[in-house]
Amino acid sequence: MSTRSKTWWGKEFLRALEHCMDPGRLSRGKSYVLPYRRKSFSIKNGKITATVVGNINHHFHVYETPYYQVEIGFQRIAKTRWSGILNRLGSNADWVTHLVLGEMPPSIEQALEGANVKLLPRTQKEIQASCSCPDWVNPCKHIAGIYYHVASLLDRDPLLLFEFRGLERSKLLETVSKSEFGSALQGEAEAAAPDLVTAARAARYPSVGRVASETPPSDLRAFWRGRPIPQDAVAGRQVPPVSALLLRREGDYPEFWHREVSFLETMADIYERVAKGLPPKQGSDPGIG
Amino acid sequence: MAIKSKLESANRPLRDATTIGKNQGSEVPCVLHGSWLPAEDGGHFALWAESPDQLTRPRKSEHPFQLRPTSLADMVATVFSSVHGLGTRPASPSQVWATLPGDGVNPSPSLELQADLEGEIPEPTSWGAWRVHAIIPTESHSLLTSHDLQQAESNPTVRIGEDLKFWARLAAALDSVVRRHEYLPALFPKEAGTGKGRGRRKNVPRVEFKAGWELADAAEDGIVGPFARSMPGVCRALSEEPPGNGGGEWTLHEPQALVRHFLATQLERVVLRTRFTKTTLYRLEGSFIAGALPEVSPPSRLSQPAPIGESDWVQWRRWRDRIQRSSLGADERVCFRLADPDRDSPDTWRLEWLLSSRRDPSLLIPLAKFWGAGDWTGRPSPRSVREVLLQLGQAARLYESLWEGMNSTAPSGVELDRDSALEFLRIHAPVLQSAGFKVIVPAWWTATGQRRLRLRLRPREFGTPASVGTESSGILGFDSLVDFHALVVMNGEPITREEWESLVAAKEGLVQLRGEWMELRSEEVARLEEYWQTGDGLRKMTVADLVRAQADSDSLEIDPKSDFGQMLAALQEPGTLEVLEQPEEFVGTLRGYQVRGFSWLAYLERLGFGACLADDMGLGKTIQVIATLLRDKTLDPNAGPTLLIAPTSVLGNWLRETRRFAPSLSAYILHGPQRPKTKEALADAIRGKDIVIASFGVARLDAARLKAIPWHRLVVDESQNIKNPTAAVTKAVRTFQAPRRVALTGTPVENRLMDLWSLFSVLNPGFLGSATAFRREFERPIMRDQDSTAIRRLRGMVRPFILRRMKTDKSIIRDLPDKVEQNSGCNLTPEQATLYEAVIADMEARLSDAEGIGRQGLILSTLMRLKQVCNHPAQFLQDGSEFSESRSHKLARVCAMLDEIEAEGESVLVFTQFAEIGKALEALFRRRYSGAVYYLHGGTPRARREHMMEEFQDTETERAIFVLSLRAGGTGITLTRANHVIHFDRWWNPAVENQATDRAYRIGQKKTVFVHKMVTMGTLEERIDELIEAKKKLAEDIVGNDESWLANLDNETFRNLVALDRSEAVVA
Repeated sequence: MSTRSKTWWGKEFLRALEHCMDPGRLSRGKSYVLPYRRKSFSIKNGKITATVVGNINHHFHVYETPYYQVEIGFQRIAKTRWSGILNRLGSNADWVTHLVLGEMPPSIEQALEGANVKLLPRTQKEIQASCSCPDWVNPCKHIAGIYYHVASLLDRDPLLLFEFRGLERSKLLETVSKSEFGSALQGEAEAAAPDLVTAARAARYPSVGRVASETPPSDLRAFWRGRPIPQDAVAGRQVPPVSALLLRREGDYPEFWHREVSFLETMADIYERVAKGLPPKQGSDPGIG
Repeated sequence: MAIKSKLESANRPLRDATTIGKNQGSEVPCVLHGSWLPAEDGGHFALWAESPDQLTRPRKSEHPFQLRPTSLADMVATVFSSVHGLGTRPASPSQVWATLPGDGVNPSPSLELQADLEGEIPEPTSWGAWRVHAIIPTESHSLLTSHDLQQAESNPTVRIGEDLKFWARLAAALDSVVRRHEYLPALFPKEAGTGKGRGRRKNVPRVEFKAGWELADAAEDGIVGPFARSMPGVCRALSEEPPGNGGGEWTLHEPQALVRHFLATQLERVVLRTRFTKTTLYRLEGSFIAGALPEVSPPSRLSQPAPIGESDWVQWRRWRDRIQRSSLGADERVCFRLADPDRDSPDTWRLEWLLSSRRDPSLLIPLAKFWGAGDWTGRPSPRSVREVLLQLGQAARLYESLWEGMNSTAPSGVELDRDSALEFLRIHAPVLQSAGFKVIVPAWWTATGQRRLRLRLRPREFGTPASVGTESSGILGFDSLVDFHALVVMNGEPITREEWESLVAAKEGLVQLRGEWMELRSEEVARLEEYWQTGDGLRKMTVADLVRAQADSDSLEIDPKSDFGQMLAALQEPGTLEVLEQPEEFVGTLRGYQVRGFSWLAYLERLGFGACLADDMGLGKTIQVIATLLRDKTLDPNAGPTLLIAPTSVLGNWLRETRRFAPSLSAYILHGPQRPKTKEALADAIRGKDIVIASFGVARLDAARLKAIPWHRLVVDESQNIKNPTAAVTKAVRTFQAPRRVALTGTPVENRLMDLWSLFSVLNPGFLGSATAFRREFERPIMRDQDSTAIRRLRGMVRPFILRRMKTDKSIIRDLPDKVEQNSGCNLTPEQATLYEAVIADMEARLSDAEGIGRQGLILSTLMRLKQVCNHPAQFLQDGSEFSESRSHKLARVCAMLDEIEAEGESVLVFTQFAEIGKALEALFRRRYSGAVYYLHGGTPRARREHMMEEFQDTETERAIFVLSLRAGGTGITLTRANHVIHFDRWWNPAVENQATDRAYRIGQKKTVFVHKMVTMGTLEERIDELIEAKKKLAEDIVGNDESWLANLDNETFRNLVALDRSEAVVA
């Protein structure tokens, strides 16, 4: 688990927190970001509730593994503001496209113009955080650990920020879908449910059935020779100027990639090596004729 | 007397299909087959071989015509000799089932085998399944993509089945997809039983995940359809289990699925075969992708893939679906179009966004319209809006500037400044295109519409009009200096100083000149600026440098209106050259293109350049050269001799053609052991001769003497003989002194670079630089990097000196009759000459005493045996001796012709009246040529005959050689696929020969038919030819259909008919 965000908004979230609270205390939470520290974690109505596994500490007479309740809430944007915000959002192709790609639009704060707060927190006042641990200073290690976890969740799911500010996801999609491009966002949310059961039923490789021959046994040509293969099906197009080009359509660090190193660079390296390992292309002296 | 006994043995009656040599027996090659055996968890590639010989004691359901394991293993090892570690896959089946067409009892032979089989083959009537012994190689991909398969084409003991070739092509197609990185890491879920006793999830199936790879759908779709449609049935015929015929119906694998299965499994094997470094694998630690790569050995922590769960799959699947758009049925495809800016705002470019359809690429609407009105199907649906936005976003990930156009309620494009527009054209357009987007660039950016600034050189007049006067010596030569002016032009239009300065002010990038856009590169500016600096002063350059410089057509051109420009134009397009009169003493009429070729030769010679005449075979290179020689003689009777070097087998033909078309030229053949052995003797011998004909062998052996003679001209016939720059003969020819040089060849010369250099080292010494420089400047860049600039430059340099005309050229067809008949004169080898004389002597001894039937028999058998001698000693001796080219010039000549015909990809008929020659030719051609060879004779069964004809005529089959017996194949059948007809030996009646020729020359023939009649000179064949010619003139049937009338000739006439004229025969 990383304590560094890979997206600008995840980074911005952490920077905002550092800005409005003691950075030293915040960074103590880094050791609490590993999954085993969270016995439970949930986000409901924009509120975060978690049970954090603390440390045994004889000095403080903690002799059994302690569990601390952490709750975090963010200041909400007034309900009356939302429809205006969402209208603006849904009629701007840039913003919707970024959200369709799973990214936070860089100029998102413009969409929130006129609201009482920005999307990203500015001051500690905007955040209500509590922990059941004995440490009475905020943030304690446990709260800070949850902050880091939230930042990494934001990397994958920027829409969480809207939830924190009081707009439920379903409501967001419903409202936005009524505007110019908003339907795209809704379609995206609906499309994002691949069906594992159906997929698992399919064979590992295409299953090859058998069919009666289309030609009679007397058609020796069809059986032994077939037909000429069009040249372009064999040779194909030119090698593109950029490695792993197709993958670049979906950007670096896809959801399933948990490493710090760049996914695209790693894959480009793999593709290059595989291509290099191929036998040399068939063909002779190209000549000048 | 040894020869006598041989003569007697030759008296045996001739039977159809007698063999000449023991070695030319029925060496029918086996056919190597191979196909993909799909299995649920992978599959095997199985190789098996079909044999012409039946197995001894075949077991039940065993394919009776196949190779057993040991011979099969030998064959596979021979064919794939370069594949390392060719092993058998462990635990693989040693026998597989093949579903094949058969006659109810036996499987019918494949077409590959049938092409080589004699006898009647029953038409298959039903399907059946037979067991075949198979070899399952451990690694099939390297096998299928190795050069071995191509090389096996020239191996006479094996034929590669079309099925194996099909899979090899499919493997090559897969390779090109892999080179383009068009595949993705993938996760495949698999049900692994239902989970047990785990609370409420009891009935949920347990799923395991396996990492692997899948092809990009666009790439896969481009392959599957065409390949599945072209797949031979036999590729679908193998199975591990007996296929059974449930319901009485025999089945084959479904082709599309089979192709997909092969691609899917082979893709993974290609990746798994790759060696990766530990660094690479470490970067993947914890990712499922590590499980799709080969394991490192010894296994380390790094290679252990993390357990893969459902969420990994869901995440992967979402990602994958966003890349594999078309597999989800998305028809929308975003398109980017860059248009020229408005006239008054040259810095505001617009990259317009449009929507196109995958299914119908002609549909195209601007996005500006799409948002309001929708696409061709109606109002934009939420799904298509999402698709368009997703694609725009993905494109913007590859080209960030696109985001600038997105901040809008109806995004329709983005504005670019001038530099960004250039950057888009140079970098982003090709990237977007390769990533699957459609990109439309302005016409002036495309290769055809490109506008370039060039330096135009205007050489001063040097007094060479586009025609040739009476002077006969080279007036220019490569080393003369030419004065010239230089100016800068764009598309032919000169640029003024002001225009240039305004361009230079823009430095580089996209500039506008006279209202049109173009790219200006800084290196271009620097190069041209240099010329502006020095102003209009005169410069000097050698002719060779000028010709070299103009080849770099990107940056330089020669003023087309200048003498020099006109000269170059004339050289490249001889149609514009003023044509010369055919020399008066030329007997016959040159065809239009021959006159143009002859004028071109004369023009080049006058300028002092060496020329290569590379016309197609049959277009008459010989007589164009003869006309050139004749013209010289007219201009200057004391011009001195031309040295002509040619292969031994055509020396006689040159002599014959010279005599026929230019009897006023005196020719001398420099050949044989009696040829002059000192410089003085040679000088004496050739004094007063116009043409001295020598073989390549003599050119090499007598080089010291030949180089001492100041030749008027050097002609190298069949110049592929000097293609090796380090060969002794090439080195020898290079030393000969001649101001005029001509090379003749019928095979394209531009295809192999060092061959080309070698040719030019003789034709125009020094012009292409030293061999080392040539390798560095051209061969390596072209061979290694396919450097298109180097290719263009080299082409531009050599084109002016090569005239290559094909018989399919429009300008040639116009001049060609539908049928071109020519005699090809051959010499006798010393062996043939000795045998010929022995036959004559034998006849002489018996002729005076013979009478009646005996006399007639003697005459007829003498004729027969002489013809055999002319064909080949082995035919005459019938002793099983080698049927080699070196023993018969006629055979060597025919093979040389077939080489050229093969190079042109054309088909040919070869007629002979002798069954044993037909059989021997068939066997020889089989070994020598890769395509099909058919042989039709009196004993060919009807069905087989029909089958061969059908195969030969089928335009989907390879070009082929058809050997026919004159009697069996001379009538009734249509073989218009061939446009060459060779008469290997002559028949007395031209009607019979013409009828045979008409197999090819008849309705349905779309090309000019070239008829080559082989005539051995100085022998009865030449006299038969004269008789036939005379008969044609008389138009009367004075001779019968066969040879019986000859028996009525008196002894003296007969003697004259068959006598060997050694001076004519050029025994060599």
